[in-house]
Amino acid sequence: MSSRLPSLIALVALTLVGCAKDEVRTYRVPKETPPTLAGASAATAGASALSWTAPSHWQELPASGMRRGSFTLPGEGDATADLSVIAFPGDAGGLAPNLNRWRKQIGLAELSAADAQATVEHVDTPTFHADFVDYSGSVDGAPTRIMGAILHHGGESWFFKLMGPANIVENEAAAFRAFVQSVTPASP
Amino acid sequence: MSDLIAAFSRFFCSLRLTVVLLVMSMVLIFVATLAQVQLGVYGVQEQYFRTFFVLARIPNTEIPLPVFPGGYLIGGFLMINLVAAHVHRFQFTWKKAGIQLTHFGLIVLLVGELVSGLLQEDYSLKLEEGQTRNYSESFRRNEVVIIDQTDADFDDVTAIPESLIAAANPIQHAKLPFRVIVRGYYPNANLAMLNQLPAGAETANLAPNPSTAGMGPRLGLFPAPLTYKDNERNLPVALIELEGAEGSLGIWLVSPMLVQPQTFDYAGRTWSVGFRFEREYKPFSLTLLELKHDVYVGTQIPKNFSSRVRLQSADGTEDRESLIYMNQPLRHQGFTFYQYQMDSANGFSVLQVVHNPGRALPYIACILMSIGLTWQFGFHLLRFTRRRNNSAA
Repeated sequence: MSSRLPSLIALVALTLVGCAKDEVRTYRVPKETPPTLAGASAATAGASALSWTAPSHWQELPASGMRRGSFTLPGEGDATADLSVIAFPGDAGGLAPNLNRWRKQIGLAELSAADAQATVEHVDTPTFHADFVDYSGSVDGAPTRIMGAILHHGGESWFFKLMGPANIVENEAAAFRAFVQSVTPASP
Repeated sequence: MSDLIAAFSRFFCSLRLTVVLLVMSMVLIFVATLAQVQLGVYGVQEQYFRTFFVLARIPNTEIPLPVFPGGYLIGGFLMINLVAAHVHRFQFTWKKAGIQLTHFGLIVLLVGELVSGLLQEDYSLKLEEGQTRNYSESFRRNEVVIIDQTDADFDDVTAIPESLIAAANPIQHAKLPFRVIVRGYYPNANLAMLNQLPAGAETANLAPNPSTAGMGPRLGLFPAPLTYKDNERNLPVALIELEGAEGSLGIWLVSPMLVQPQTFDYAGRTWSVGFRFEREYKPFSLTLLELKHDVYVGTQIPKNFSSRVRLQSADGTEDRESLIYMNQPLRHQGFTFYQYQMDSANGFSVLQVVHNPGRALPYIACILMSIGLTWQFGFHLLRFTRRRNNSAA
């Protein structure tokens, strides 16, 4: 009898292995108030967060890595343009190097600081002063355009960059300007 | 019948069983220590110690086979062995009181580990400055949630644990007017926008993505190997088909990586579907009022991280502020909130939320064992000195 006992006990223990069972839970919770304005979305940063209102046909993507905001703007067929919102501390190395970084992405020549400054259109939005630029170049032979806006908030430089096929950027130019105009500090 | 009882008694009271169990636990600890290189601390705890059996898969299959007793089995038998031997041979004498107390402490320690293993909850609570939350999120576990968002003030949540998604059985729940069918599940995967993949990107690793609704059709799905590193977590992806009375409503791709809710209308109600870190709601909320990241003057070396939070109970009986910093957690209703991570540049703080009903047991066990050992050694020392004095006289 006693020789069979250990195996009997082991068998009982084995059946216990499958005992911890997960179940479907249901519960009711108050709606979470997003840390944003109604109908708008906000950057994930806290102290220096911004919020904005985007057109409904823009596909918002999760903010990830350096991106505080990210959108895909649909065009004809599968073509899309990309809108990114990135913030860097301070002046992020200065205006001209950042503009030249954008210019290089679409195959344009680098400019001197004074010449780069001359490409900037200064715009006062309801809340901020923004530096707008609009560059047309090409990537792999395809006409590509960058519309950008740079503004400063919370000790950071915020870069709003719309880049994509020239025709899509052309169609979305007004919406992009309206989008930048809508940027405000996020309410806590 | 008495034969059976005698057999049980002989088996569980034997010193031979104690030795075998101690040797087995040594082997288990040795093998688990080696396995920690691949699995990390959490993986080893789950697969070697907080389990009845260490399981291994038959090569090229998903069928698990028990290959060695796990921590629960060895620890459980050790405890039964200890208790049985004590009950069987218990005889109170002052001479043996220390040994008995030490063993009792050991039993408390084993029970404490079992209680912690079964009941301890380990969650994180990420708060942006000014943000209020009444839930924490699991470090490891995920859940598919289908939320009825129709009500203006409340969300009705149906949360399906990841293990049920992995089991891939159709799920029918009274709260849902449709069936949930799992069309695909990847315990860890990466996602990328299909149209943003670099030209000529390696698409051979793309997994089939049959999604038809939400943002799934625009996403490329790349399965990734499971990670067991302590500072990483697996981000699963599931393909969920919802099937109403009239037929399929579509297939959604869900993942904790997709933070924007994917909503749809069905049966006159608005629903959203998503995969998220498992949430634990609490009857109180925390608001992050202020976070501080102090450094030593003239350096970038961190000196102190602290979070000033406001705690408010749902019934309005409690409303107080508390400062959480290193070794100064906030304790409330059995939960302990430790300062865990902080990103002052982005203005958020992460608290570790631990709920462990057995947290006092290891301390009690150590006190009992200390008293027992002190008593035992003291008793013998006294006897020894008395005997020596007597012989000297």
